[in-house]
Amino acid sequence: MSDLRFAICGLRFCPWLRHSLVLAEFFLAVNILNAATNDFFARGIDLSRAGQFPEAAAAFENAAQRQPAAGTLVNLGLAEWQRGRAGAAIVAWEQARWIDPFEPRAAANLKFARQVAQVDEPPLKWFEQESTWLPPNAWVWLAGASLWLAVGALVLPGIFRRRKAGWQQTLAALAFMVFLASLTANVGVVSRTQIGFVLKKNAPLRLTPTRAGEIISTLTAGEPARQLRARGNFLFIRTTGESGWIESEDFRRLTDD
Amino acid sequence: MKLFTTMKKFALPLVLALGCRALALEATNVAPPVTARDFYNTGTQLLAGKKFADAERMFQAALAAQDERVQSPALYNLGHARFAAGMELLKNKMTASGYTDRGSRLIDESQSSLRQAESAILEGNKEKMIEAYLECRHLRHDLRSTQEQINTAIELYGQVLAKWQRAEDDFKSSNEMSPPDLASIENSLEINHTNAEFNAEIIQEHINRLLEQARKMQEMMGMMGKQKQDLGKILSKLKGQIPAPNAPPGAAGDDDEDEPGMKPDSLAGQKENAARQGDQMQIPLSPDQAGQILDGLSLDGSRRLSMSDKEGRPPKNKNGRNW
Repeated sequence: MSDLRFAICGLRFCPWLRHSLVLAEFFLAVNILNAATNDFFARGIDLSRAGQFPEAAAAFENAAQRQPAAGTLVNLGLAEWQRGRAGAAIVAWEQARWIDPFEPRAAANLKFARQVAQVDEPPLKWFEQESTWLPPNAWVWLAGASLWLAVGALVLPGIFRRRKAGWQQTLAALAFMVFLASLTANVGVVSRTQIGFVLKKNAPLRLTPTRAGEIISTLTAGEPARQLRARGNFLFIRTTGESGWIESEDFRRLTDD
Repeated sequence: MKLFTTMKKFALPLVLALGCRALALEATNVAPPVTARDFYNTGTQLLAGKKFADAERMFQAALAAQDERVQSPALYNLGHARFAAGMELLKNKMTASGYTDRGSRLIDESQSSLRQAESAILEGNKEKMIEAYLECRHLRHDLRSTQEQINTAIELYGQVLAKWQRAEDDFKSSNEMSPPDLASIENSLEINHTNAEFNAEIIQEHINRLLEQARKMQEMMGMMGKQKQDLGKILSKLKGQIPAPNAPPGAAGDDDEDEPGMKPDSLAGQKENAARQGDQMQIPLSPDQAGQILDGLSLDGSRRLSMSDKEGRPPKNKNGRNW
């Protein structure tokens, strides 16, 4: 890599060759990253088979940080569950479902874990429920594509000086409807980013964001909550029953690394 | 002119009515606290009026509203309210040294009584034995009542300790909650955060003192318990030595603690409450009222049981056993 970078720096007078080498460096970096991710993943699998779950969880976490993937997160959840960390396992499986809502293992594991840990699913509003039907990125693509389709179906016949056909108008209407539906789903995706889960067992929920703050109640590991704001090392969260401050290390949002 | 006269006639009652209304509004329509600041201000007023429990509730409400501008001063005052509430609990109560002095005095007295009892047993002097018996019994009773008082005092100290520990945490939290951008507000509220630290330290000293006193009281409890056992032993020994005709009153069954309260035979001679003598139903009823009540009790008189088509047929001849 360093030789290649040195060569790129040396080629000041040959722009096309320089650009080609930059591209080559990019692909090489991607390959190296993939290789490292695969290494961590394979190591995590081996460690899990050997029953070394804390190390396996660390390896899967590294792999997920480098390249988030539903399969890696499912395995991370399993390793965390085996370690006895129900909260971290639930977060990992929820993150797997965030990336891939059709991941069946994550859904089954979550159902089982919630039954065992006696915690509820996060209560979702209708537009948040809708946003779970597809991966978050898919909603963005769908919104963009449907908007351009609607605009195209309406504008292009005029540009090409053709008469608007009935099917074109129907297509535009349908595309616009899909666009509107995907807009609410996108709002749901944004809203769902505030949802998180308690990691530690009996995590204290405090009245004030201070270390010596009065404890209102204690939360179960895996309990869902919405993060409303943050102050210093504390997060203000709202659970199904109450609101209060929790230490940031005891809580992880779906979209946190 | 006529209009002016009419107005003049009604002017005074009108002015009076309006004045009364204004006064009534002022007296009754005091707006209840809504915002965090309102709760804080109400709490501060209550704290100044030494209504610590109410002030505590108000400050907690102010904190629950999660208004950052109010949280730090509310925590500061909440610390004061809780500390003062703890002090209030200790007010007019005997100090720990009072209990320990009393306990040690009782222990000294019981030791001398034990010595007297032992010498009486050695001498075989019945009169002295009876005297020592009564003295030991009296001391054992005193020890027990003092132990109970110390127990109550320790429980009270526990309550005070909980309040003070919370107060200390409140002061610490107040100190922790002072961001630089709120300094101006806090200055305007005349809150110096070094004061919060200082208060937390003072409360810690009070807590340490309280714990020390509780520890001393517990030690005293242990010593008194041991002394009570010794007295119990000597009492049973004396009881074995004193002949039954000379035994002091109550000596036969006084090994156990004389539990306070009512004994079963003490219920003898008491009369049942007059209201329970069975005369509650002697309410005079007129024949009409009685008829109305009976009508009300009738079982749906208009309804009849369903009739079968075999009406009027004689019952079957049953050959079975007549039960």
